[in-house]
Amino acid sequence: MDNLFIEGFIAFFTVSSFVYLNLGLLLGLVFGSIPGLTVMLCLVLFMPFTYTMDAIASFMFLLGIYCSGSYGGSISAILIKTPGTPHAAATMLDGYPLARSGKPKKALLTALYASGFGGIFSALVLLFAAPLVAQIALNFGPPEYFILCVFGLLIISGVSSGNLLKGIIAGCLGLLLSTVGMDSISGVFRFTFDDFNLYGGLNLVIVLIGLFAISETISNASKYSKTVKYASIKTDDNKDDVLPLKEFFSSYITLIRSSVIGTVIGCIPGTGASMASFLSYDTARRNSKNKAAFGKGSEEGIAAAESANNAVTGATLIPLLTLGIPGDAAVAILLGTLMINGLTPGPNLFQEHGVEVYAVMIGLIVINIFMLIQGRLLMPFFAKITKVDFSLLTPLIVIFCFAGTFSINNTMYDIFVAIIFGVAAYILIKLDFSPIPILLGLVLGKLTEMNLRRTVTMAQGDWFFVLSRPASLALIAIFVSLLAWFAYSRFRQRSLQNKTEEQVA
Amino acid sequence: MKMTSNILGGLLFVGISLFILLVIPEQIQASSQVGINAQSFPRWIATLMLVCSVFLLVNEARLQRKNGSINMSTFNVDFKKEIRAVLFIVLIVAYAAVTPFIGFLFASMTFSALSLLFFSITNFKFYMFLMVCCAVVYYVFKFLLLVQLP
Repeated sequence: MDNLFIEGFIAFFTVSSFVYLNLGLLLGLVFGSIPGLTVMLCLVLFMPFTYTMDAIASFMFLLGIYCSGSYGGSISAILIKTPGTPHAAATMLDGYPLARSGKPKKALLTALYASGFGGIFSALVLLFAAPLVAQIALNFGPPEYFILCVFGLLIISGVSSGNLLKGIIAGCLGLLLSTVGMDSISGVFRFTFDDFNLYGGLNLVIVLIGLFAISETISNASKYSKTVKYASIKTDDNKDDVLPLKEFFSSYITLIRSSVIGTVIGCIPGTGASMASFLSYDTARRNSKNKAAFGKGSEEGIAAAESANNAVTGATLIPLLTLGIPGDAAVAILLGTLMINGLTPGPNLFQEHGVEVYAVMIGLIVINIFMLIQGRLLMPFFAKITKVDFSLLTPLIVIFCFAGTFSINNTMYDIFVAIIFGVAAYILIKLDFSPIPILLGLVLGKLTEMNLRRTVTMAQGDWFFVLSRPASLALIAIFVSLLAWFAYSRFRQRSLQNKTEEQVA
Repeated sequence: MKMTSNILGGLLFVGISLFILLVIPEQIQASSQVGINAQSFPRWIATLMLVCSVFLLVNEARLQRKNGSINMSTFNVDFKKEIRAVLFIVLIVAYAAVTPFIGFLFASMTFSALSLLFFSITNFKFYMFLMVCCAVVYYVFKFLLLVQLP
């Protein structure tokens, strides 16, 4: 392990890693801070760029977007009372009042430092916990992998849609899309409709660009109104508007507790940063000596929400790298990137590509450090970024989609495929179907089918075969308990969110 | 019965899953008739999709009957919004269609200008900004990333 750590450190410590992680951080900050633009959109748009990079550089680039996008959401929440990401809603409860009271810099700095603290905390947990989980997971065979895939799909389907049935239907659609092209086991073509362009299957990036980027532009175009203008609070120089580090670390208990909450929640697939930020905000409020300040610009409130939601970023990589299960939609894109680079996530990843995995885990710590630096340097521009007009962004996104899609196979066919998926996703979103389970189904489809077929072959008609394996039985028990806890916590989160917002109002 | 998003979605996916189940024998050659083959996984998934869609419809119908469909919100189509969406889709398709003929750079510039007109933007600076952006994107993809754009 020591050797891998050192080799991973050396592999990470290249100029390209630093350049790409900083580029990713910058893009994530911009996309996260503009209301209406999402981290998902940013990841999808810039995924084609990673085709020319090596595995470590591409992962650094996308992780940079993922981490800073998580912080970026708080910028618009603080300055214009519009959360750039769903989980920044908890930050807004105290961030906006503090900014309005003449201390926008203090609010932004609290959010930035807390995000960095939570991010570094969870990156360290990832570095030490992931190899241990991978060691346990080495005993897994096809039945256990199949159970993991089904669990991942089920959880994401349940979380992303308000309706579990709709989530499962969308997940099934994704699984069916993953079967298009040549079957890797029998070599038979499936659903190609005699079109040779489909023989190799549907390209993940092209489908993603359609599902998340083009559908988003259509939606923006239909909703655009010139009358909607955001009034941003300016971060002008004000001598009293500062945050000494001593003052920030005075709420160290809140920071540590919130980071632990975020890390634990992030480890569980499908839970997400919103649950972490609201749960930790509520816990901080209940345990605070100054409860009355919450909702009126409490720095502790901002720190609790932000450290928890950024602690999720490192923790979601634990199930991804060790078991191959993405914790949320953004991480599913990272999974796609790993696969494109020939790294199949799971316990074998640590055996076969240990150096790259350690490089990524070390890189995550560095990403969070650079996020602090960039966030500090770019602070004067934040008020301007949040006011960028959508009429400028929408055509730019489409142009990027076209160039990115074309770059994959150098064919116009792919652009039309992306448009078809974009229109289909727009219709599905109108009918309250989330595209996230489709993405998960598409990403996990091949792995699910391969392990199902192997399990059925191994079972030879014995339906109790899976239950006779201790690892499978243990996994099923864990997942049933997790599902029960998950149902309970969703109910609790909803009531908490309502209660917190009512009290703050 | 009110036409809710659940009813429309359920009907749509019943149709899709039935279509998939119908085309499986024609689209996928079964390598062997015994045990699991290339048809099995898609067939099981399409069946699961069909069952869930039917269940979604039945559940919705049952709820509507129970509540007298008072609290159900009908699936409303805001025609003004949807016409804008359709127009923008047409714009995107036209952009894709003309790109091979006039090239990526000019197609992108035309698309940007038409998009700004679509959003009723009169500020000249916006047009200039997007023209420069098109040139930058073209330069980055063609000369830095070495992508052969049309």
